[in-house]
Amino acid sequence: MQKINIDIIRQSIPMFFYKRIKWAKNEITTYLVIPIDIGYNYLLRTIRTKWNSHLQLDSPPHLAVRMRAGFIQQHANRELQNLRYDLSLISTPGTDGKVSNGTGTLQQGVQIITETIPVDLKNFGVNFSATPTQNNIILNHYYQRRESLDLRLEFTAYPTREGAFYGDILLEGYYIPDRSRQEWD
Amino acid sequence: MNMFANVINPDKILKLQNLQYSEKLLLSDTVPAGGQQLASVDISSLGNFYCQYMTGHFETLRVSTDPLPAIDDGISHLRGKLSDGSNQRQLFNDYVPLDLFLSPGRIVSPNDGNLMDLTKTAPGNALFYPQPFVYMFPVNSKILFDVKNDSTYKLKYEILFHGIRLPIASREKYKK
Repeated sequence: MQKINIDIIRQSIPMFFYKRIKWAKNEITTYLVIPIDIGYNYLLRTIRTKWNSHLQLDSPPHLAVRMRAGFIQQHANRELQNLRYDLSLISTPGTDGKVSNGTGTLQQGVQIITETIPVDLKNFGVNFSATPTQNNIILNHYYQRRESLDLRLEFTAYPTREGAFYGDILLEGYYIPDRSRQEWD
Repeated sequence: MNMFANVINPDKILKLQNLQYSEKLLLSDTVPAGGQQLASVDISSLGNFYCQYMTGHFETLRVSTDPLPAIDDGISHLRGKLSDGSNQRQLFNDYVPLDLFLSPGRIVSPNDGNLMDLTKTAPGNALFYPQPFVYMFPVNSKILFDVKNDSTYKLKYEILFHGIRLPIASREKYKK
């Protein structure tokens, strides 16, 4: 049998980037810029999203807010799409959905914690319902070392909706060590 | 393997099984209400563990007085951060809500006060896709998972890591 060499140091490393986004009605563009660690490239495999919709209970919740994404490779100033597209085209959005309040009544799944609790509150006082995110398109976007993962998001909230909106973005991918770098020798 | 088209060679199969075999590691913990807790699972001295997928579920409860002691509100209260215990390498950049990456996710809890009332108890989710998570956890290390719970009730979660065990002892002769 062939010799098996396990290279723990140089193998690819899973790295998930999570961001909670809050935006108000008509505030349409935000940027999600994540610096890639020195010595690594980053392979973005897929993206998972979830947002609260403030829709009526008898309507499909995820249609209330549209979120368009644009991926940019900064090292080449290259857009990875011709036009920004809806995130629901690459990721089945998990939504706030409809949940039971325990008495048989359905209510919106987003919950704002009002009690003082010993957790950090980077917009973490808002929770979504535990509906699963389902299918995802594999993106395979490759970002080179010393680059920033630049994701530009445009939101469209229909004008009849009130209040602030929250969105969860989870970028799933792998750090890949750049073996040409001296620090790996 | 089509067993009638191929000759089954037990010696060859047993040798291969000693070198690598499928294994699953369960990480299970209960996070206190409004608290934070670090859970870990030992990779042990048996060998490296090459993780390929993970699946998991968690409870969605909050305190209730009627009925006692809690109800399932369907809200995701847990968020966690995964890291490799051998070198403290962070595998998540922040505390990620468990509902974003775990399938099946929400599960029916025995602590739900509405457990016997089928009109009020929401079912747990069905297993969908396992979360791909390819990483080599070194021998003698730990998988660390730091979880925060902002519910008013203690919540249990479980994550199953699906992978391949690579026993060290069986590989000694291949190092030369």
